[in-house]
Amino acid sequence: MSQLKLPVLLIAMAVLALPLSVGAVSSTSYQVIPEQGFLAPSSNGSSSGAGLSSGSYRLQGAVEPFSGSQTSTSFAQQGGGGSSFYCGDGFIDPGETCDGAALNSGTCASQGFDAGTLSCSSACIYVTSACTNAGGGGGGGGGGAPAASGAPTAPVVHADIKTLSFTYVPSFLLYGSNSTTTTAVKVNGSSTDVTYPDSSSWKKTVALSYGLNSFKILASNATGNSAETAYEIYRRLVGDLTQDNSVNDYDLSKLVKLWGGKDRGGDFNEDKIVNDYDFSMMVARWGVKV
Amino acid sequence: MKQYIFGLIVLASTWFPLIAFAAGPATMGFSQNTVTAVAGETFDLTVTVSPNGEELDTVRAVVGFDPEIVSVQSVSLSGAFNRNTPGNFFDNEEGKISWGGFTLDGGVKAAGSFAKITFLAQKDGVRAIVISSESRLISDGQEKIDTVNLGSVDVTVKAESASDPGLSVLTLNSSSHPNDVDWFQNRKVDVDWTELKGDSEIASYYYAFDESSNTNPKTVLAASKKSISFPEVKDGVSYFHLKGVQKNGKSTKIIHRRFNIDDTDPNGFELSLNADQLIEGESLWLTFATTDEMSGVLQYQVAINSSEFQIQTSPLELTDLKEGTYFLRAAALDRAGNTVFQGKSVRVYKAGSDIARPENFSPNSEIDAITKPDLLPSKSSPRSKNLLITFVLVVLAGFGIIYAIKSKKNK
Repeated sequence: MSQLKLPVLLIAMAVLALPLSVGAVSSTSYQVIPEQGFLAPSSNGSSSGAGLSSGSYRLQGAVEPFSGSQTSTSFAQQGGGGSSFYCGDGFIDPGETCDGAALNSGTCASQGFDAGTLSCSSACIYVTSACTNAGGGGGGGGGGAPAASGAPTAPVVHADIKTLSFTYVPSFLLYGSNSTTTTAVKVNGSSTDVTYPDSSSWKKTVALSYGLNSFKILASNATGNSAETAYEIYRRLVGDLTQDNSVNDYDLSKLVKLWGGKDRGGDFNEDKIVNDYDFSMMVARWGVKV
Repeated sequence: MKQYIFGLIVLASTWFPLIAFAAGPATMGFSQNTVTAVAGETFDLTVTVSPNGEELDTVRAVVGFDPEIVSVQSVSLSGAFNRNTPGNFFDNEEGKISWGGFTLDGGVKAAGSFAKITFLAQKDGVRAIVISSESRLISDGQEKIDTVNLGSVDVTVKAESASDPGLSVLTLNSSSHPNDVDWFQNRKVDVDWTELKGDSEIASYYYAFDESSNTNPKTVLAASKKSISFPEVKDGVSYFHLKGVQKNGKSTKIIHRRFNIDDTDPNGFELSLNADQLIEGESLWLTFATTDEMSGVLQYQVAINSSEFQIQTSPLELTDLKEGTYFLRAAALDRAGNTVFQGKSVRVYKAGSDIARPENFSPNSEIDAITKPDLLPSKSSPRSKNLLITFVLVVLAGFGIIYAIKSKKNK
């Protein structure tokens, strides 16, 4: 019996470890077949196209990985509308902070307030009159007030973005508060494009690459002392709810569970509801693997 | 005692491969085990799903068949999973169907039908139609399928027998739906028929109008009746079935006519742009896609400003936009011509304009992810990891067995 102890031990180890391999069918277990439409239609299309240009209908899949380039001239479109860009046209043109409902990701929080509704003036600059602070005073919240000669309080990333953990957007507004003794805030070693809505808040729009993006936000004071805060956010591929870097049935299953709700995980177009429009964005990326 | 332990070891080892690839208890099968059909006729198969305690929300049936014996006419969802997933297709050359559905009405716990497949029997022979282990039964992103217990159907196709020359021959026509291949928005079906007389007059007709491809009609019609209409037929594939019974008591061959009706728009869709502000010389990328439950999306069309719509595919790149504001419209059309639209604006600035982008911003990063799939550090596939673990365990068990055998021999 003693000679059998080793093999029994080996088998026992194998059996105990078996749960690791059970459930081997994972979201990447299957080859995703891109949309190919129906492969056996003889239909040339029929019926009305609701006023669309006719053109012979040709069978095409819903998604093709790469369809090549088109030039705009092939559309024989009208001109682009000249250069009649103006404040109030809904686009944030160079020199404008905002335009109408387009707030460029700005919120009261990004302007150093605790709550309220940020709006845009007819001069295309932010209006913060409807923004409020919890303490009732004006101006930004945030950092403490350490002695100017010591190290400043580390800058604080605002709570609204602190816990986000992920986003789908390529451009992200990073913002928070700092102590009033802070003279400069650097994001990843650079103060370029860092702006200060008031003496106790800072913000910077940063570009995100896919995957984990790490930032070090450093506040320094007049004496040259500094303190640092780290912030990380993951940029996901739109549609990839299972985070396996592909878009397939398993992601759809996750989306189904979020349908009708506001969960950011399924709200790809960030309109505060998970619905057909988010599903559409998933369909457009169906079969994509990164 | 030693022999018992040795037996247990061998038993455990043999179970490894089976256990390692079973992901859950849910099963997929067919509503029947055998089918007999005559060449030239259609028959329906229903794919069924048994959650077996799971709460399923997304299903994909991958079915294999011999395309020399049978071919697929149509596939449609038939149960609680009432929305089509992307990526659905059938291929009558390879002999493969991949059809998915999902539900937004809560997880499905009860066993039921999933999809109806209509096959055309092509030529005589006996083959199996099988559900592949590529099929999926998913709950909240987790695979629940038991790939060991997947269904199959034995199909026997018999050669068409010679018809009785004394029988009348019926022919169906439809003024409302001129053919049985295209999809139509018209929900009112008009059908009429003519008769090539046999050696005995028709005493009465029998008809049926339903969703089965091979119903034996039971509703009687007078022999003088040569047409019939059905108002408000619901979306989907419907069939009209007709036979005549002659005065000599003989029945004509049953004829079946398919009607494809889709009066519902495709699902709404999002027209995504890689940026809403660009500099001259930068590409504008449009991404768009949607699904349609009945006839499927046939094509997309895109227009810029007041141009005519043109057929395009996603993603679409526009390379030479000059300074200005552009209004882009995209339309998704299903095979019956039902259409949904979406529009977005983009502004293009002169080269050299400062449009306040963050450092290292690339307007094409989203498109790059779609077209150049190498942006993220590659993760080793979970399946590869699982296979590796399984392999190691099997090797481990194998060494144990060999060691035990050697030990036994040495004694």
